[in-house]
Amino acid sequence: MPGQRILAIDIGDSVEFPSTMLQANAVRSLAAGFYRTITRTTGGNPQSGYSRLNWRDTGRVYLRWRVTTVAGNGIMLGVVKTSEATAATYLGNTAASWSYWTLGQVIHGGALTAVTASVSGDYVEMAWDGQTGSLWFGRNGVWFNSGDPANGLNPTYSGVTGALDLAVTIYGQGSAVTLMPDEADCRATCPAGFTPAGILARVASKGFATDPADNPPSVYYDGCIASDGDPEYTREVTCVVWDRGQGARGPLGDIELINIDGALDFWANYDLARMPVRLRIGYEGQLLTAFADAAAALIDRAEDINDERLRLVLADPGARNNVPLAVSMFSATPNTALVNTPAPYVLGNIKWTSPPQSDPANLEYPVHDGVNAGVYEVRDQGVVITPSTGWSFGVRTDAAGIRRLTNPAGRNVVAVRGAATLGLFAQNWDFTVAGGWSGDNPTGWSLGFTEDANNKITFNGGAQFLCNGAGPVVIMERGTGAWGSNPTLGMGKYYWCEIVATIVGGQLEVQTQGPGATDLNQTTIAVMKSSGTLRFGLSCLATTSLRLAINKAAGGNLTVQTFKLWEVALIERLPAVLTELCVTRGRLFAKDLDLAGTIASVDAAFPAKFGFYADQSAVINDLVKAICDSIVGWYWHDRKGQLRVGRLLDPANQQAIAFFDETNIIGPLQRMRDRAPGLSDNVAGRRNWSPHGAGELAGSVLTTSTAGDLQANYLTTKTGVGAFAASYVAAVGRKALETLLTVDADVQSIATLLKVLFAKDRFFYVFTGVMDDTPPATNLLLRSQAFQQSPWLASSVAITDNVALSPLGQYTAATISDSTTLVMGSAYQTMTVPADTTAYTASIYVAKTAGGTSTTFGITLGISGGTAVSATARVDTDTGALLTGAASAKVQDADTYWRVLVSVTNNGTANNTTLRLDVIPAAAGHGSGVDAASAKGTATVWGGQVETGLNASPYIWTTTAAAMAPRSYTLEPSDVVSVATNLTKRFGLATGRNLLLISAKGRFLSNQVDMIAWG
Amino acid sequence: MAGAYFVFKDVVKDSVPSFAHVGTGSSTVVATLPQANLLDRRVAKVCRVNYSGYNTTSEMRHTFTLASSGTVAAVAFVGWNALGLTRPPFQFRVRDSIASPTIDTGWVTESWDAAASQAMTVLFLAGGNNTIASTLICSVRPHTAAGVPGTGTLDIGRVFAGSAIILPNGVKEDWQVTVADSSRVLRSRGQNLYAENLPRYRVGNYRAQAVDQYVAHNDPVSFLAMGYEAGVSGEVLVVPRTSYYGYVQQLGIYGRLAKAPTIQHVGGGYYDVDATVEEGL
Repeated sequence: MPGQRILAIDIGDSVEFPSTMLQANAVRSLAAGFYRTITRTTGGNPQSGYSRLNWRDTGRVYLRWRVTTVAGNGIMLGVVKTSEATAATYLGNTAASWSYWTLGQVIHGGALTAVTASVSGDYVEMAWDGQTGSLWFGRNGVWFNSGDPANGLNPTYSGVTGALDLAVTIYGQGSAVTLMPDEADCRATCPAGFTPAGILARVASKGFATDPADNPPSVYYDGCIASDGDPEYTREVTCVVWDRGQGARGPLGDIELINIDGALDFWANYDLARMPVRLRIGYEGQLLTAFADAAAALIDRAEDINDERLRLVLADPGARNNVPLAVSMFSATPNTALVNTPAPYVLGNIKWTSPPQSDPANLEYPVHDGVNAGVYEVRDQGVVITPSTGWSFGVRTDAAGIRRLTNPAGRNVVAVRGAATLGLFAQNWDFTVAGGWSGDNPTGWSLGFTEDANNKITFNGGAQFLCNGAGPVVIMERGTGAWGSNPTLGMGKYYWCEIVATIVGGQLEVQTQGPGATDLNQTTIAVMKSSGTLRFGLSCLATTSLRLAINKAAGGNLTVQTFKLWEVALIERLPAVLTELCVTRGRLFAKDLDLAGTIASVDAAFPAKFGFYADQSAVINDLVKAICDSIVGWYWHDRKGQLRVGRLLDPANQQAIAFFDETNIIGPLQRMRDRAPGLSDNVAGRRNWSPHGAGELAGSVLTTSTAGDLQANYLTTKTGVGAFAASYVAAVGRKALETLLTVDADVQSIATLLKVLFAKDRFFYVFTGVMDDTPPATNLLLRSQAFQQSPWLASSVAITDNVALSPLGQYTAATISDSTTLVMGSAYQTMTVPADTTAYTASIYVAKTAGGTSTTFGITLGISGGTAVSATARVDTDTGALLTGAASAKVQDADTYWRVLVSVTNNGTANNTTLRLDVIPAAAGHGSGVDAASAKGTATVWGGQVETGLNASPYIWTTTAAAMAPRSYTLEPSDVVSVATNLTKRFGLATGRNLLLISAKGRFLSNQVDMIAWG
Repeated sequence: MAGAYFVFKDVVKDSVPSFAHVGTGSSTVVATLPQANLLDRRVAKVCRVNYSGYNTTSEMRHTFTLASSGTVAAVAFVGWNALGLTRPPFQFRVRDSIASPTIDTGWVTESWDAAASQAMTVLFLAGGNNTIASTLICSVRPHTAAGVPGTGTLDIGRVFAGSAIILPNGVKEDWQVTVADSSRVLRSRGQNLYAENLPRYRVGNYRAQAVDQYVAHNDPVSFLAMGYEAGVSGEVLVVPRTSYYGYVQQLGIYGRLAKAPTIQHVGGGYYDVDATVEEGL
């Protein structure tokens, strides 16, 4: 019997260096249970680069570093902006990093200011005020330059704002440093008003000190969690068909801590909001590393209930994303008209938006706050206008957009491809470098015309195009021959260009090989009329190449400094969209997303594409909810705090990971009809983000079918095929489910899915389940319900899988037929076990029979290789009577099946390692317990299991590997559980059924979970 | 009839502990579980010492400098625990001075007779309620076979020194040590039992028969005085009077008085006393 169950809670940031963000040659190692020590013993002296970890973007935080060893050029430690890529230089030598150098300098932007040097064993202190952007450095309790964080005076640096990473450059080989953010020693030196980073407190339901070999080693968990009530956690999800229009939510619960002796009084001084909390459950005497994660949360607030108790109110870790989408603001120039208003944001492939006019003089219209977005269609009064004559890409420093080359006649809308990620294919030509020129041409480029005195390309701090207005078109091509050979842009791919040029006169044109090469359907796809940076995206409809030209008719004089080209991937599929929203734009880190797990599998099962446009700020969590709603799905944060996604699916044929029946359900099992109030047979997609009024369309458009699209809210509405069950007839014709899907086929898939899911009546099942406290069982038998598959072997029997209803009501039961009178046939499987004295129990379900004719069913469990041992069970399947094996076998009534158990104990002889289970359909004639080879017959079987111990646990389905039954606290929304009770029978279900879990409300100390499941 | 010790009014709680290794080998206090934990009332919050030494020649010495003089009738190492697979027996000793001790228990060998991870208690008598001036020296050493070094980790939850009611006999043998369990037990639909696994703790009910009036309530160290420690006041330690430390472990309880002892007059100058002590703080 395991010891007492213990709930252990870590409060605070883990603060450790990930393996993926280390300086070259730097090695991280454990300190106080976390990867907080960085050393570098190779790579020379000095060496640039830095190790970093995602840290904070708000608050007043205090932190200490212990300078373990100063060697050679020492150590730079400090912060770098999260948005700043790791530079090939030392920390502090960029505009976005600030550091203290142990040789006695503080550094920012490469500028050094002398302070006190450190020696091995010193503590370097750091305080950061996220509100004022003040950063203080100090050493051994003395802040540099009379700094006073507590009173906000004399910061070492100011203007340090936004999301920061902690970073360290081990500049001198042999140096080492350790982050020391933890607990009491840090609390003692923390300035008033600041909160120590790291683990602030460790509390538990029963006090214990961790073992020296544990992780973290030798720390104390204060047993102050009040025991007069079992703390609860909640994980639930909701779906658009139940809650259409509601926002995202995520309660978790609260925990009361006893504070009679005032040991936790320090909490009142600290900013605990959003402090991460990790809750683990284990057993007394276990190592902490063996504890299982039960929940991850953030502190919403800490309340002093009275002078003896403190209450921690916990929030879902996703609460960090209850913040507006961080949309950029327009700066003063060149956005003269829109200064300090939010820039628009585009995700995915959308049409149409009405971009704001930011620069009336130059007719500029930004469409996206980032630079990497592309316009592929512009309409004026609903009429498509021609690129390079009616419009071109805008020249902005802070946004992507268009420039109208003619004055708009009326309503101006654009179709846009939104944010993208850069791909591997990249070209970067820097024409400002003299060494990059061969003669008077940039290396690798050729001219598409004959140079003369008035029309030429020369090196002049860049590629200077001169054209007198009468000569040929001045064209520069990559490679040789007409259009050259590079860059070759692939068909169906998507690219970004960035050109920096100075325009003295005329205009720079970017051309592709003929109409139809790009989705802009133009030879000239971009026109640059003023100096600056031109950025644009294009999708190639054919293999093509790009060239730069100056229009001969206009003439002119311009210089191209750089020309960059990337192949990019549009952010429109679920993994990229969630990363963009939650990590790039939100407050989560990449590790907080279950990218490789549920997000990837949902995306693989339904590779939908999403699109979104905002010209004002939206809350990220609401947006994630809208994304999930679009696929009839949901998101939640799992017990480790990772954001996971799931979808409404028919659980009937899914693998159940837990089994509930009379033995482990407490109280009633309640059934409620799913009324699906948000259900509709119509699904709308391809949203029109800027519908036109009839008066805003030109007459030429009004007569075309496009007019309808331009005026519609959604360009696509699809209806599923088939019929809803009677309960859902009211959903027919209801207002369509509105999605962010941008592909017609995806919209159709959702409509079809809803018709399939609700073609039968659906119910919510509400019940409380319990898992036994004992360690979970493992089913050693492989292919536990697929007897035709290896490693099952047939000895004189015929096996047919999936031909009969299982105890769960699915066609997953098999028949095993013995049709020979010569031998006693069986289906058998062997397993390798240790030659010790472990006991094993085999169990299998066999269908009940009637009529007094069925042959005797048997199972035999034996261990051989040394001194063999075995045990048998022989059962009358009509009555369940155990004909042989009373000492070591049992028969349990399992509704339409018997569950037959047999146990055997190994005898410890050498090499007794082959465990074999035989399933025998006809061991003897009806009613006989004496084996007879002559008996012939068929048995219907399901759910074989072999486990250690002398009892059979609830059945665990296996396929290619032994499987372990889950603990109650591992149950998560989207898990499928099997329920088989008398009540499910009463509800008209033959035996039991698989259900999709949508809510799990568990208690930490007991192992009960209140569940709501759907199916 | 058995005897027992009721120890209360801890005198070391405001003192300043220091640590020294004496003799061959070495021992150091683990920084994350420092020596200050010896003054914490939670015995799960331990002082952890990594030691490496030889039988009788390597001493881990915790010295407490008391804030003021105090009465010490008994000293206890409450909740000591040796970690690791090859833990040796330990020897314990308490003195108030090395040079000229008023109290010196001598070395007492504590053989390991409890399951791994189970905290032990060891108690020393000071020979009556002695007043010690300023220092209490608590020593531990590994008691390995001669010449065999011992290396490992020793946790001590608490050093507790205080006044004691010492009953050479008169405690009823039916004193109870039981477990209080506030778990809620439920049954499944199939009659399986499940419980909310709330922390359990031990409760001792002690009945002293016919103690004299001085022990009952006249002396400064009496059950009446102990009664003032009930509820949220200081902790108490109750252990049976026995030479077998297994009984100390099994029947002794370190905790708090759940209620003041009931002192009932039975005639003459004699009283019956009932005391209930609950484990934990």
